[in-house]
Amino acid sequence: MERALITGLGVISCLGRGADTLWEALHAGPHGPRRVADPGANVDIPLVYLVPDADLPTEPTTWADAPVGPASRLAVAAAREALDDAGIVGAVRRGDVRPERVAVLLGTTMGDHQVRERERSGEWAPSAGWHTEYLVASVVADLLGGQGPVSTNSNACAASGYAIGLAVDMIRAGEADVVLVGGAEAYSRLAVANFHRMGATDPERCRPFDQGRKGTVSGEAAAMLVVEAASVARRRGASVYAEIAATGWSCDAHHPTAPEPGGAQIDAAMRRALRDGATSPAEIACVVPHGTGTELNDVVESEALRTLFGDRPVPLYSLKAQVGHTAGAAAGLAVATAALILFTRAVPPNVPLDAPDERCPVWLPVEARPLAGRAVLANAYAFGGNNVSVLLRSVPA
Amino acid sequence: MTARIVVTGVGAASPWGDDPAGLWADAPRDAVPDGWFDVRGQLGARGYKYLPPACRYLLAAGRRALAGLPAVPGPDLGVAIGTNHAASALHADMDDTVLRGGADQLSPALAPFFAVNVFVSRLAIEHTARAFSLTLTTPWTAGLESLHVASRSLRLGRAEVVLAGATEAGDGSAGAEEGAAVFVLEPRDLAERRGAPVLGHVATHTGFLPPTGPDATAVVRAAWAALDTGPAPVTLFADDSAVGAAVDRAVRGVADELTVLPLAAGTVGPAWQVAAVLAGGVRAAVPAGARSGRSGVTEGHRTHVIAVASRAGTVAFTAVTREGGS
Repeated sequence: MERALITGLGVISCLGRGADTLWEALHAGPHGPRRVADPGANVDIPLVYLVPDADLPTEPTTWADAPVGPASRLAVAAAREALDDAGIVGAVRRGDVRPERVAVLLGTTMGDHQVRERERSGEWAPSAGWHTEYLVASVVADLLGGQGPVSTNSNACAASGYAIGLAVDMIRAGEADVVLVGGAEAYSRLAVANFHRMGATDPERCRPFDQGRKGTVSGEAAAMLVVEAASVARRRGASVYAEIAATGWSCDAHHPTAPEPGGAQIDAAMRRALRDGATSPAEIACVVPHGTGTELNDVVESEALRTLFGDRPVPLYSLKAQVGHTAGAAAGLAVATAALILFTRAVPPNVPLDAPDERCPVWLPVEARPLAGRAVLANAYAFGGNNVSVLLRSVPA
Repeated sequence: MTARIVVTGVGAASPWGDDPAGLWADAPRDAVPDGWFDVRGQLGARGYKYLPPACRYLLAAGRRALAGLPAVPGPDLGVAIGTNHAASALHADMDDTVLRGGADQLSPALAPFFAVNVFVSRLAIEHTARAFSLTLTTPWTAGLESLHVASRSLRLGRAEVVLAGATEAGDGSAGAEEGAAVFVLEPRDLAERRGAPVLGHVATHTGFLPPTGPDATAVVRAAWAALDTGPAPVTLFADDSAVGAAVDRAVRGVADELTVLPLAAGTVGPAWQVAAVLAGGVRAAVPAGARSGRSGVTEGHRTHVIAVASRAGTVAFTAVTREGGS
C-alpha cells in the first residue's frame, strides 16, 4: 500500500501568512483575540482570533458567477503556498504528476456562510439564485484546472482531520497520486453566537488546560497540505516534511455536543491510528492535542492521554493557546504544526498557564525543546462526537 | 465480476413517497408539497420535537434502510451522509434571531445544529455508530460521493457496515430538495454470513471540471473505465452551466440511453434514483424484450448509471447494479 507523505505546507492564521511565519510566531509571545467589527454580532463576547487585516487576501470575490467569501480566499492563499512549496504546478507542467490524479479535499464548518451573513445584515446586496456555501474546494481546485476528485466535509472542529484521513485513504486505495488537503474557516457570526448560547466561550482568550478556562475562543485560518504518494514524491525528488502514517477515526454516538465523559472513543481513535501506523505509544514524542479550553473536553482528553501513555511524561504543544479554535481548519493547522515539529525536530514553547488544572495531568513545557523521537500525534474532536487522530512520523532524508 | 461491497438496505423519506421503488424520476419533479412529513407517524410521539426537519428525514430513512436487518455492533458501524442545505433554513432563522434580539435569544435545544455534522451524528447516536460519522458537503455530488466513501472505508477496514446517503430540507428557495435516502453497505461475505439480503452493488467515480471551457471527454472516459460497466442507460442530473453541457455532450458518446434531468438544489435527488434502481423500481424506458440502443442488449438492464454535473465543477457517476435478474 502506498505511503502518504507531506511535501508542501500553506498556512494563514491570526499569526499571519505563511508556514514560516507561523513557526516563528509560535516561538514569540502569546497572541490574543480581537473584537470583531461586525455590527450584527449581538453577543456578549465578540472575540475572535482574526487574520490580520494586512494579511487578508482580497481575491477572489466571485467564482463561476457565485459570490465567494473569506473562507475561499483564505483557502486559496494557503493552497497557493502549499502548491508552490511542493512544486506541484511545475510537476504537472513537466508531466511528473498527472492532473487527473490530483485531488482536492477540504474541511470546513461554515464554508462561505459569511457571505449570507453580510447579505442578511444589509452590508452586501443579496445575490440572486441558489448558492451553496461549500464552494471553497471548487475555488481551490480551479487553481489546478485538473479533473481529479474534489470533496468537502463539514465534520465541524474535526473537519480537516477527516479531510486528511480521506486523503490518506485515497492514496492508499490508488485513487490519487497527490492530494491538496486541509481546512478553512472564516469568522461567522452564527458560529460565535451559538458557541456563546451554549456557554462555551471564554471572555478573555483561549487557554486550554488552565484552571480558569471558561470555554474556547474561535479563530480564522486556512491550512493546506500537499499529501503525496511516496512513489511519486520519490520519483520527482520532492522534499518531505513527514509521513502521515495513519489516521484513526471514531464517533462517540453519545450526545450532540458534550464529549462522552469516559473518553472511550477518543481513546479508540488514538489507538486505531497507532495500530494502523504500526507505532507504539512509547514512540510518541509529542502530541498536538485538540485542547480547546472547553471545561469538560480538556479534562476528558487529558485523561485519555494519561490512559494511553501511563506515567510517561509526553510533551504537548497546545496550539490553540496561540491561534484560537479555528474549527474546520483546526486539525489542518495542528497537522501542519506537527509536521514542522518533526521536520525541525523541535517542540515550540507553550504559552504559560496562569494556573494548571489539576484535573488535566498534561505536560506543557514552556521552553522550546528538542524533539525526542520520530512520531507525533495530532488530535481533533468535534460536536457530534466526531473524533480523529492523525499520526505523523519522520521520514529519513 | 462479483462485487465485494454490496448494498443490503435502502430507505427513503420523500415528498413523493417512502417506497424507494417509487422514486425513479424520468421527468422533472413538481414543487414540494407542504406538510408531507408527519413527525409523529414517522418517528414517534416523543423525542423529536426539537430536531430540525433534515434530521427527522434522515432518521426516518435510516430506520427504513435498517428495518429487518440484523443489528450491527456499534464499533463496527460507520455513517457517511451528504448534504448541502440541511441547516440552511435553521441558519437563516438563527441569524435573524441574533440580528434582532441577540445570541441570548437563540434556542439552546437547536444551538448545536448550527454545525451541520450534528444532523448526521444524530443518526450515528440513534444506531450507536462508533466507527465514524462523516458529513460530506461537496456541492451536489455529496450524496453519490457518500456511496464511494462508504465502499472505500469498508475496503480499508474502517467499519464492517456503513450507512451512506443524503438528506436535505427546504431552505425557502424554489426548487430546493427535501427528504432523505439511506443505504446500508457491507462486504458481501458479511451479508451472507449474517443473512442480510443483497439488493445490488454500486461503484462511483467523481471528478472536477473548471467552469470555464470545460471538456468532459477525459473525465467521462475515466469514469466508464473505473465503473467497469459497459454500455448502460444513464440518468444525468445537470444544470445549465458549461459543466452540465460538457458532461451531457461527453456522456452521449457512451450512454446506451440518456435521460437528462434538471439538477435541483441539493444532494438527495440522485441518491433517490440510485435507491429506485436497487429497489427494482425502474420504469421501462423501452418496451420489454425490445432491442434498444447501440448495445443491442434487451430491455431489463441490471446496471444503470446515475450522473451529476454542476456549476460548482463537481461531477459524479454512480453505476448501480441490481442483484440477480432484472
